[in-house]
Amino acid sequence: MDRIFGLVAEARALNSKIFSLPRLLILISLENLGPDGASYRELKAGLKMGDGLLFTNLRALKEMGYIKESSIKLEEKEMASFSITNEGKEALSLAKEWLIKWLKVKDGELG
Amino acid sequence: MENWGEKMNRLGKVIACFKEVGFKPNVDSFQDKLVMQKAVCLMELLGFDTGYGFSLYVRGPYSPNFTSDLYENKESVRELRTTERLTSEEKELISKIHEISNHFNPTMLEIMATYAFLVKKLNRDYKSALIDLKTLKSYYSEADIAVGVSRMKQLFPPSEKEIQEMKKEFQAWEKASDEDFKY
Repeated sequence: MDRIFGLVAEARALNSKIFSLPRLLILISLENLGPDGASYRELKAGLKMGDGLLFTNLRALKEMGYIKESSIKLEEKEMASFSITNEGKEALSLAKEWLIKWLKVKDGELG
Repeated sequence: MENWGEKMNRLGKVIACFKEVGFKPNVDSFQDKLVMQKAVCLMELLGFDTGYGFSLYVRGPYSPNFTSDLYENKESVRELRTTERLTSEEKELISKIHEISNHFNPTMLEIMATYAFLVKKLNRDYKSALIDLKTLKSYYSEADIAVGVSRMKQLFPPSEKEIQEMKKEFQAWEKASDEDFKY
């Protein structure tokens, strides 16, 4: 039982708004691309998300300060690119650590 | 933990390659970084040991270590500053990539490197690699994909195993054709 209290206590440090599949996928994909980030079209194709879903979640992450948008030029075309911020890396790392702790709990220990 | 000298050596070789084909990259340009990533990935896949490991990301094959070296040495890259020398084989290799990719055309390099990575590194067969390529690079036209795939095949001659598989595949057709000629 003390395990669940531990998980609940640690969950308070997390931002629950990133616990959605599209948001986690966006942050995970941008994590290893560092300052380079990825263009909107690369995220859309690579994550197989429609415009509505991708746009809404990119906007939410941007408002939280977890990603930043820049304008890039590729073969004479102007397009948007997104990269993860230090705050985004930190929030993702906290979420990852919390999930690992939860996964390490054996069945029945949370009862 | 790598030291500065080791990092500079591997980046120096890459800079020497760009110098060889007259490509002066700007590390602050998204397009130039894309070109560098994909060209170096193709070099690796063709057997040139650059020391950079590539993995598949949403952007296709990409090396975070290479990016970090580029950011740490922006000026050396911009000015093509290096003491490294290329062997004649290495010069030939980079010139071939440069020529076949239409002088480092970003679209061509992206398609060629992604397709080559799926086939050569991830061992996908040509057919399933093409399906994955079309998903990952769905923003390119069918025509661009077709040209890029054909260029990649020009760059990587078929292995002995692939030749044998092709022979096996064509055997049935040849047999049928021989049968036709009998009548």
